[in-house]
Formats: sequence, structure tokens, C-alpha cells
Amino acid sequence: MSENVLEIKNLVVHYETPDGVSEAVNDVSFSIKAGETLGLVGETGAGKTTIALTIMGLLPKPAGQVIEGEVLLDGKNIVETSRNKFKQRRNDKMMRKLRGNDIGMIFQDPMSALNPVMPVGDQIAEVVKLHNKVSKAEASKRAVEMMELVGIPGERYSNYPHEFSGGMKQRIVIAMALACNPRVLIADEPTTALDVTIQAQVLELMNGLKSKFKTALLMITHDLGVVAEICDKCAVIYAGQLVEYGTVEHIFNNAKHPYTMALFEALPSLDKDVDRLKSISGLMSDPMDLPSYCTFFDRCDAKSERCNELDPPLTEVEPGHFVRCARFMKDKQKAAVSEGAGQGEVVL
Amino acid sequence: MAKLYTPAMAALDRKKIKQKGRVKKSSPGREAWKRLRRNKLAIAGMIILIVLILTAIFADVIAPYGIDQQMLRNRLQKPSFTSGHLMGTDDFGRDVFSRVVYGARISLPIGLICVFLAFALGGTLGAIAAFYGGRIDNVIMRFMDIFQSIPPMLMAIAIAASLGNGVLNLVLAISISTMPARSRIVRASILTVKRNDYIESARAIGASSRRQLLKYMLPNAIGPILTSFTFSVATAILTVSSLSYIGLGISPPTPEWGCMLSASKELIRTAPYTLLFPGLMIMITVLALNLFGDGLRDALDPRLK
Repeated sequence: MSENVLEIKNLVVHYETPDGVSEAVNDVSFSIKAGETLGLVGETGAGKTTIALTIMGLLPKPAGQVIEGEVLLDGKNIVETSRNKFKQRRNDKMMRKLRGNDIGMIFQDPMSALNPVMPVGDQIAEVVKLHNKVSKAEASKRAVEMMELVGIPGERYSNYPHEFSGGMKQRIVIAMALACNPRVLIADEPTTALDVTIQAQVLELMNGLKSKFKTALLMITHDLGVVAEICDKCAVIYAGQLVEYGTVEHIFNNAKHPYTMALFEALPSLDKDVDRLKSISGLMSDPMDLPSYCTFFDRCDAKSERCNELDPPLTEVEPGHFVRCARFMKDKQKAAVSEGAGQGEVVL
Repeated sequence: MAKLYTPAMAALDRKKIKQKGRVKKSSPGREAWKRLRRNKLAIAGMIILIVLILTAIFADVIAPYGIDQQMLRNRLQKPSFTSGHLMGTDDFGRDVFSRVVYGARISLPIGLICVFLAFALGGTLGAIAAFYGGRIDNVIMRFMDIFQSIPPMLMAIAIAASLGNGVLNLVLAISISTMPARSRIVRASILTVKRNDYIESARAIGASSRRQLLKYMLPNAIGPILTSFTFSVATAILTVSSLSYIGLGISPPTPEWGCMLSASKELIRTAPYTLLFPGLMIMITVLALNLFGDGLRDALDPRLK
């Protein structure tokens, strides 16, 4: 087995606003190997983008703060949990070298992710120039190569973003993100702003390039179809916590967590004839005011009366498949949790 | 059937061939120029400005007499084509036309330099304030508030009076007194583009703060800044003239327009033409700058696109 390129360990990120602390990410861990794709699935506000920004070191300052945990890039920690200004600045400086070079990012909306007053070729060349000691001509040559690679003729080097369609712009954004052969590519809902036919093209392109460059890909999406298409592993995130984590087969064929199951029930299916799609009632818990028990309790169909008393840990239900639900807790864990909560007996 | 080939069709073909050779390009700058070109008033303003600039450059070719060449026998001549004094002569027998022409060499550059300095100082501070935000923004902008609480004209008079006469002091006085307003314009324009996704993506490729500011924010925010630049030049020229008129700017023998007005104000009843032409020049320059500025604003405003 190859080494993990990106590993996230017990990441906790808070936004400290004047109105209170928003617990955006609570104890998230996952890892991606070279050439592997992890799909990060969850609804709006679940903390997906916060995780991406943390990896990039682009959390909005001063509100965003990594409380604890590590983000390991090739085994080296790249987040700073200290509030010390000098340490943070030093980390910032280091991150600036990594961004674009070791970690690339594809943004959600290609329409606005390109500088409208700079020719697209120059924008790709800019990344190359920022991270390599190359001449202008070499950088431009590389930019043309990248453009051809994503299927845009090199003659369009000096065209401006407004002269391209949405799908083409997203290709250029992809070319920018991959121009320096990054170890990790983060795609934050790369297909959300595109129509379905273009989505398929862009996904296929990303998949091909990923295997070609041996890049670890973190795919953030709320589209389970995208996950099925190109991901190897899948992490379902809810209210800043991983609720289910495993291979795509685990998640799609053997979903265990009530939230994951509810997500699949909310998908239209070709095989079954359903008049109404099921929706998940209620809203996600407010990250400013998370309950001390299971965060999904209020919306769960499978809850028992004890669920609002314990906060279940991630439990391995089969090799490589983790679920955060009281129903799958092992006896030992039950005892530990109940002791921690200071309650005598927990019977499920 | 024989193919019909009319001269009109031939002309069309020629046009097609011509266009093929030209590479069709469209950059934001080119688009703005296209829009500007459609605005007749703006183009009129631009042409007047170009004429004025040419006048300033070729002043010694155009002007028939020197600036302080006195012809005491020909004092206070009325404007006429035949006498060789197109705009008459003043009380020292100096040719007004020559002095007005040389005046362009003083008013235009001073106006430009004043605004340039004001933007260099205020603009840099405004851009820094907008970029970093928070405490830095607060400190810089409160400092500007203090500056701005003094009327700019009054401040310019105070600075000019304390530094004494002279072109350099005048320029300093005007630049410093208009700096807060310029810093606000730059700050506001940077703030409008700061939250855009492409700034985030510039950060995501590892661009430094300076690069983000100069290569990504400034070019996108340049519209309002350029527009206000042209308007500011007009105001600066007016201020220079006003200060010269009250005797705080450029002193008399120099043919600055405001200064000429001031020097011949006693003649307003006997020889009004000595005031008319310098005054007209100020007016024309300011009008041309304002017309051009208006057109520029419309051309650069993407909402009209």
C-alpha cells in the first residue's frame, strides 16, 4: 500500500464571531493516497468548504481558527493551531509556497474564478512562474501545454475569460490547478455551476488527469452521482462531523448511518417507481449551538430513547467502514461513553 | 446560368479578405475604447485635450512673441488679426496670445502632477487600508477623516501660505489637501473587487499580497480610479488658478492662466480681453477634461455592457 499523501487527523475548526463560536468542523479524520479520490459529501453548512480552506490555509482570518488536529501533507503538518501571530505568519509564508504548487484548488464557480482582465494563458503561466524559476517563455509554453491537455486549443492563449463558455472556463481553472503537478487537488463542488453534459466532460477530464499525474483528489460535492462516478472513498459529513466513512462500495451498497440512508432515499431512482421523493425533515443543528448528544438526533428515523443522552464515536462496522451511530457501538464503547457522560447504565 | 457578380459583391469580397488578415481581439481595454469611441462628446473632449497638450509641447513654435517680451508702444491693443496680436496686448505691451499658449505649459503639467502625487500618496494608503482591513484600515481612514474635516481649499491656502510661493510648494499644497478624497476613491474601488472569487483563486495559487493587490485587484478596480483621475485634474487646474489668483501660487511674470487673471484684474473695465482669454482657456481645459471623464466613466462602467 502506498503512503498517504494527505492525512487529516482529529481536525477541529471554529469560527469565532462576535455572536459566539461556530463549531464548523469537529474531530474530522481521513486520508487520501496518491491517485486516489475521496468524496466529501454533505449538505450546505456541514463544514465541507471549511475543511478545504483549512487544508489550503485560506481560512478567513481572524474568525477562522484551527483549534486542534493536524493536516499532514506527505507526513508533514501544515496547519498552525497556535494563536501566536508570529507562528501564524510563519505558517502563512510556508503555505504560500505550497498553494498552487503542492496543493491545487478548483473552485465552485468558474465564471468568477478567473481574473477578467488577464488573458487566460497568462493566468496559467502565472502559477508556473510563481513556483518555478522559469523564464516567461518557458512558463507560457507550459501554459499552452496545459491548455491543450484540458482540450483547449493553444491559440486561445491570449483570449480573455469573457470569451469562453462556462465549461471551457472550468477547464482552464483545472489547467491552472494542475499546472505545477500538485500532490493534492481539492475540488470544491467543481460541477455545481455547470450543466449536466458539461459536468460529465469535466468529471471525465479530472479523472483522467488525476490518474495521469498521480494526484490525490479531494472531491467536495453534494451530488452522490459525482461520488459514484469518480471517487474511491467517500466521507459523509454532517454538522462538522464524519458520520460515515468508507469505500464507495461500503457507502453505496451498505450504508449504515441513518443520514446516509436518508440521502439515498432522497435520490430519484431509475429502477423504482416512486411518486414522491423522500426528504429529510427538519434542519441541521446550528453549529453555534451543537447538542451534547448525537447531532442527527432531531431528524433521525431510527432513533431510540437513549440517543439523546450519548454522543456516539466512529465505530468500525466492517474493515475500513466507519459509522457514527449509537446502533453500531460496541459494548466496550458504550460503557466508555456512558461513563464519560456520567450516567450509570445505558441499555440499547 | 451565368453567375452574377456585381461591384457591390466585389467590394464585399475585398472587405472579407481584409478582415481575414486582421486578428480579432477583444480585451476589456479594447471593449472600453470601443464604447468610448461611440461617445461623441467624450471624443470632442479628448480632441480638445490633445490640441491643448500639443499646444503646450510646441509652445515656442506657435507663440509669435516671448512671454515677457514688452512692446511698450503697443500697450493694450485690442485683439485683431491684422495687428499680429490675436488676443491683444496687456498693460506691459506683452502679447496675450503668446502668454496664453505658454500658459498651457504650466497649468497642464501642474494639474497632472498634483493629481498624480495625490493618487500616489492617498491611493497607496487607501489600497493598503482596503486590502488589510481591520485595525490598519481604521487607523488610516481615521487619519484621513481628520485631514478631510478641513476644507481642502482652506488647507491648500494654509499650506501654500506657510511654505511660501513657488511651483513645488503649490503642488505640495494641492496634493496634500486632496489626498484624503483620492484615498477614499481607491479604497472604495478596491473594496468592491476584493471579495471576488478570482482574488480567492489568486490566493489559492500562492500569489503574494503585493501581487494580489497590483495584478488582480487594481486592474479590476481601475475604472472609477481613472475616471476620478480626469475629474481631479480639472479640479486641480482650477485650484492652481484660484491660488494664483489670490497671490498664493505662481507669481506674476509667469504666464500661468490664473496668475494672468490676477495680474490684469484692474483692467477689467478698460481692457476686458486681457482677462477673457486666460479665463476662457481655464474653462475650455476644465470642460474638456470633464467631458472626457464623463465618457470614460460610461465606457468603463461594466453595468452598461
